[in-house]
Amino acid sequence: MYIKLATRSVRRSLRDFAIYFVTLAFGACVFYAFNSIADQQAVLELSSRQLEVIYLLRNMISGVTVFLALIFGFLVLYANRFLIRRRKHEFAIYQTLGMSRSKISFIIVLETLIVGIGALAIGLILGYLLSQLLVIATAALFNVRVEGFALYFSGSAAAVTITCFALIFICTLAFNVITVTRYKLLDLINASRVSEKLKLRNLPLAIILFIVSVGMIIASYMLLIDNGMLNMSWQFMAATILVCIGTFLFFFSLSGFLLRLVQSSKKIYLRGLNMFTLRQLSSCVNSAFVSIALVCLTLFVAFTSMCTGFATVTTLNKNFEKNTIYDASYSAYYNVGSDGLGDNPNGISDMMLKQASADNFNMEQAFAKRVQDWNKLVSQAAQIDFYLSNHTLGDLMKAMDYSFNNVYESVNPDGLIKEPLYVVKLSQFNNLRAICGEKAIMLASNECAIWCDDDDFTAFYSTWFVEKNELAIFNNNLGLAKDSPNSYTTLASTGSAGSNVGIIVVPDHVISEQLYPIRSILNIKYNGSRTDIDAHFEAAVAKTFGNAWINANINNSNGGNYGWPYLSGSSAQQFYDMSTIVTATVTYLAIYIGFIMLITCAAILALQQLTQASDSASRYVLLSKIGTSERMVSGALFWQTAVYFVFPLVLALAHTTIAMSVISDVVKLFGSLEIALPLLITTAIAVLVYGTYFIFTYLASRNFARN
Amino acid sequence: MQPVLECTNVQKYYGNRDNITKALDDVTFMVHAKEFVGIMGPSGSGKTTLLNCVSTIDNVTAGTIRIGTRDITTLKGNELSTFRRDELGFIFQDSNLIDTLSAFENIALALTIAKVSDAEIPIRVQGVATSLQITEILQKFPHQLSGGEKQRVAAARALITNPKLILADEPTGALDSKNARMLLESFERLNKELSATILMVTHDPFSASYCNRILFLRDGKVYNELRRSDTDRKQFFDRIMEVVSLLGGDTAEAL
Ligand SMILES: Nc1ncnc2c1ncn2[C@@H]1O[C@H](COP(=O)(O)OP(=O)(O)O)[C@@H](O)[C@H]1O
Ligand SMILES: [Mg+2]
Repeated sequence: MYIKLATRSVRRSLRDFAIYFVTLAFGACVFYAFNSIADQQAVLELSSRQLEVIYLLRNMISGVTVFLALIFGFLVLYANRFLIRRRKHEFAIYQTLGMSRSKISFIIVLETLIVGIGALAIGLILGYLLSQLLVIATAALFNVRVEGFALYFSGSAAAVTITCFALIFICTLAFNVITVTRYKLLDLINASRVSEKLKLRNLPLAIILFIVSVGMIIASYMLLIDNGMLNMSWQFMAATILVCIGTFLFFFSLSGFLLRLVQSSKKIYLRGLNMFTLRQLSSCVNSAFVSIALVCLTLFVAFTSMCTGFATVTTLNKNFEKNTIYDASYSAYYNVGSDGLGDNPNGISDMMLKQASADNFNMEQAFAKRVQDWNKLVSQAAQIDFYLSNHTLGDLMKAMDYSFNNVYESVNPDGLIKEPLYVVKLSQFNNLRAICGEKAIMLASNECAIWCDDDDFTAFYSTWFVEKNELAIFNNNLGLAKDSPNSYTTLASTGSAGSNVGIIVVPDHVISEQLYPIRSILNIKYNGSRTDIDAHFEAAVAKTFGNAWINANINNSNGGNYGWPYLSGSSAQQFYDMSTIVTATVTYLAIYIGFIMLITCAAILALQQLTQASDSASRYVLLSKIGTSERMVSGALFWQTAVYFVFPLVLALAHTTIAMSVISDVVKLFGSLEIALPLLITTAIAVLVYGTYFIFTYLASRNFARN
Repeated sequence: MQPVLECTNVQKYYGNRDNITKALDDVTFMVHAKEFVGIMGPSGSGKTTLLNCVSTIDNVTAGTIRIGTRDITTLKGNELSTFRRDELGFIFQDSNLIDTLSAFENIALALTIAKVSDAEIPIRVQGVATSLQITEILQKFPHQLSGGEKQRVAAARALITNPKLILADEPTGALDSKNARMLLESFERLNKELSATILMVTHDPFSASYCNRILFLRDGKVYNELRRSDTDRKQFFDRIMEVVSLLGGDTAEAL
């Protein structure tokens, strides 16, 4: 009989609050699918490097799962409290019929189990299907084949999902049993009669508070924009606190403010069901403003994570081609001493001098001599030598009284001032441009050009030449080449786009033959396609130097090379691998976090709306009795639900936009960040998921109103 | 003269083939403009059912109900709500005000859903409020009002659209005698001064004595009819009591 009672009431709440149970199942589905990623190797042919990525991803996902399970657990407890509270009257009837409390608790336990196990089972089945789709996605990301149509099941993912659900539902159970045993019969009987005291707020106060809250939010935006994200200063703390308090206050005063606003226009207020809708909205927002504010802040976190994730990926992939024109790049540092470190910061070390002068400082010649098949593997190579000029950035800044006023300066002001100004020879620069397919540039003997791919620094050099007209390099007064762009953005080495803060290109004669460079870069194009050659090339170089990308023979007292012809190198293939790794990791994490948070938030709002709709059933009956058309009631419900869903969304998107613009400033250190498209994608996903919840909430509450 | 309400052979059955309750069994009567008609009968005699049928909240099994010139048993969907909105006014036993709206808003609601212009609404609400003596409490919310005040607000809402017919189901049922008297005096005034046509269900002979005419229901049938004519209220009350005691049932016992 207890089972019958339990299943019956579960069925009833399933009908009324289907959206919540669907969310539970969705949650289980997503938990399973994302935790199963680590087991995809079962059906994918992955290289060892790709396997490493998968393991890394697995670790990150497990960490994130704990966090998401907490948030999801909050939803379940919250929803459960809602659903239990509504049934006080039913429990009272059971008790007056002589059912003992322990029996009632037993029914609740049964109900909770039925719901939890049901949602879990459906979720696991859906998750099993979704995980097959994720395999296809991973295969596409890694460019590998799926081995046949083998379906796979991940035991560990199922275990994680079941554990999360078990923990969440054990908490729920404990909570339910405690609540029910605490109820007093008299309270239970009166529960349905005592209509919830309407929380009516002082309206003028609401307006003042609303204005204050908007003021606080704007102030926090300004503080954040002013301070940036990297400085953990008091401004950052103040901005965080202000935006939280502001958000709470915003929802605390929102309904009062809206009411007053609309009341001030009789035309709107005394039209159709407007006043009824507004009052409904007020009573709902007033009793739930804390959770709405939490929803808004959670949405903000979700959007920011998603947006940052997508932005990283977009930026990475967008600049990938431009950033990897050279198949490989090698750097040699001439100040490397006997210990392999720069013991001679401004000059050339004795060891390097000995090694490099034997090859005329020609890196390609040095490689060709030592590496087997070098000439077969490499079709083009261009070396560029960097010389220290007689200036530092600090000198120039001081001479102009210039300040960058940006993140560079706030992050490391000292480094900026001491940063030396490098010069390169025009002929070598043009060789580089030739490899990139760019036109050679011309300089008169008293001219120079700026090589820089950062807007802030380009502006700095432009200002210099506007103010001072010329720059003295080794006693040559050089003016900026006529008709040249503010700066040339030729790629310095593969993978380095966006990090060149300015080098002066000078006519060859300016740099004396006696001067030694401080650093050289050799950029290489393979003799054939990247995918064909890369592995052979890497193997050939590694055979000579131990490791193709970090010279392993630096300080070998018998025949060690002290970093000639290279200390370190990188290949386009490495960047490609890295960008797939980052793309895969970040995309998966962003979607995982974003989706769980989004459905949690939307489900909380949906529950609140549905509860209110069902509590208001008698009001809707009355409206219909006095002749309100069904269309009018539906319209009122639509607007009420829309406003309820839209305000947290809009405020969260506003927070996100500001945070993203600040974050993109920070990321600028590593290359400019694309935020417009990611914001758009995030908004689109949010609107889709959230919009679906909105529509179903509206339809379900319309059903309540119709009955 | 055309009657405001004309019920002809109205039948209403509940239940299935095996177990039929004849809640209304061949009820025929008329209500003319400016009448204040009471419907009395013991519990379960079909009073509420009759009112629900007249008010289009429920539909009849057989027979016709005309209000004005229209047969309301043929109305459907939106026509029904429009008809209720424009032609009828309701007052229920437990006032049925919307608890989230102030008294003013509750009354105004009847006009806003009828799309009356916003300039006109406050004036009309003030007008009815004055005649029902509730101007003082217009800004209060239902939980701040006494039962009698709530019923007068409900009466104001029913009246404000100038309906052809006001329907009241045991409006004094939840009131103490003082408040009941005030409400009934308001009804009497509405009927006399504003020429409102009222159909009121009650099982309380005192309430019924304010009417012009009483229909007695028993087992779903019209059993008797009393007209007040020119007698005063006290005499009318005595005549009602006679019928009630003849009628027997719990109404008599309740007294
Ligand atoms: N929805 C219903 N379903 C079945 N029987 C009903 C329903 N409503 C009323 N009845 C029956 O119809 C009869 C008349 O009821 P009602 O009109 O409520 O009486 P009154 O209002 O005079 O007390 C009663 O016998 C009642 O049991
Ligand atoms: Mg009744």
